[in-house]
Amino acid sequence: MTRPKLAIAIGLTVMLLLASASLMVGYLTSPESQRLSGVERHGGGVTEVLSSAAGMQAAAQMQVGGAPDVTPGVIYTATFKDMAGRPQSLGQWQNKLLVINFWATWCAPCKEEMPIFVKLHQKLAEQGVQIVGIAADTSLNVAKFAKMTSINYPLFSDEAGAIEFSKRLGNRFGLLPHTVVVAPGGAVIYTKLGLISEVEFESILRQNIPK
Amino acid sequence: MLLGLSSTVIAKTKATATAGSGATSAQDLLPAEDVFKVSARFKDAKTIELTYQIADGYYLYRKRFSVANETPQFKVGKLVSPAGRVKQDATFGRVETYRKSVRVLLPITSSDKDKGKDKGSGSAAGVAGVAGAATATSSTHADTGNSTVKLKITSQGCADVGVCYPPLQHDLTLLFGSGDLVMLSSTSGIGATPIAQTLSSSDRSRPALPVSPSVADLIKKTP
Repeated sequence: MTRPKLAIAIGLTVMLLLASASLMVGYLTSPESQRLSGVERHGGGVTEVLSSAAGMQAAAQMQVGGAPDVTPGVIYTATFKDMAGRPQSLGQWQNKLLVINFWATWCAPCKEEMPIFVKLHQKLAEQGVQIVGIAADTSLNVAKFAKMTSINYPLFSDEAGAIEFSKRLGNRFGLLPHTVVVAPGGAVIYTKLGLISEVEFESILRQNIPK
Repeated sequence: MLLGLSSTVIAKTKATATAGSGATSAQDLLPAEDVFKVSARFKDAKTIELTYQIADGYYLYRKRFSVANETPQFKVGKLVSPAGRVKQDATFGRVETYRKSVRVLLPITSSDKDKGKDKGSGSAAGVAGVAGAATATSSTHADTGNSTVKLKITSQGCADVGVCYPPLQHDLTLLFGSGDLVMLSSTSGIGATPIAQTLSSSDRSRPALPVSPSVADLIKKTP
């Protein structure tokens, strides 16, 4: 190859490399890329999309930041009292896509987002999605609240136990609201501290509906 | 290759910052003990003053203060709190909140059977009188002969980024001595370390003593 031709070839290669790098940077910062890599952005709070279906088990076992410190066994043996005072184990939903929402009657944002869970439960319950609300509150407060509202998913209460369980699921300071999605089998695939976004959350659930 | 990441990468992100907030996202939130710092002092012989320092971007609800007295020989009155900033809450309607700082007052006297013994006491002496009256009771301090009063103070607040803290409890132990008021210890939250300091009743202009030490085993950043 002559010297001018070599220079042109090198120049073209450098340009191609720069163009590729530029495209890659653009892609990595795009919403599409963020969706694919598990990063979700929205108005408030912290979301961790721990994994999508293929990597669920590995992700649940990893300890990154506030990643859950639980095994499927811990989740499915957790028991809380329902409104009638009967113990209910989360294990009864181990074949479902389980949404655990930690809340309390003294928590305004918790109550604000509950209509979203009602809607999603209505839409997705028959497709294998089970939503449960675990209140860090007295059973009396929860019963009063339940009477005044039309929550269509199970509500449980455990004033101290709910916060402790929530902490084990990555919520270090026990703040509310806190929402966790558990795939069938017990892998935690999503956690959210703060208000959920209906569109985003429905999309997460639909992507992970059991086949 | 990028598609491959979707099934294996564990990713997390901060949400958009909230204008004017100390915590710009839920990820920047602090443990309750660092957000709601409490100090206590005797405002006068029969009043405990609690001062809450509230970090920027957080607030406390006026109606969520409560006190439990664990010392029967002392009678604790109703908490007196100033008017708060009115907030129209989407869920709770009209609520009053405190930001930056708030002082709440707690009246405290000896119980009925001890009242006669306190008569004629002056301000600081009145406290000593209360102590004297209670010295014979079960709360007598083993080492000094002084008496203690134990209180559990509960408060509850939230952050502007849209999360709420569970009710926060401060355990307050105060020692009434002969002219001296000694704060023996106070704890808050899980794993809080008790502190021990002395405050002379004749030196009430001193800064109030901290009631809520940082919780060492909590990490300041949320996941």
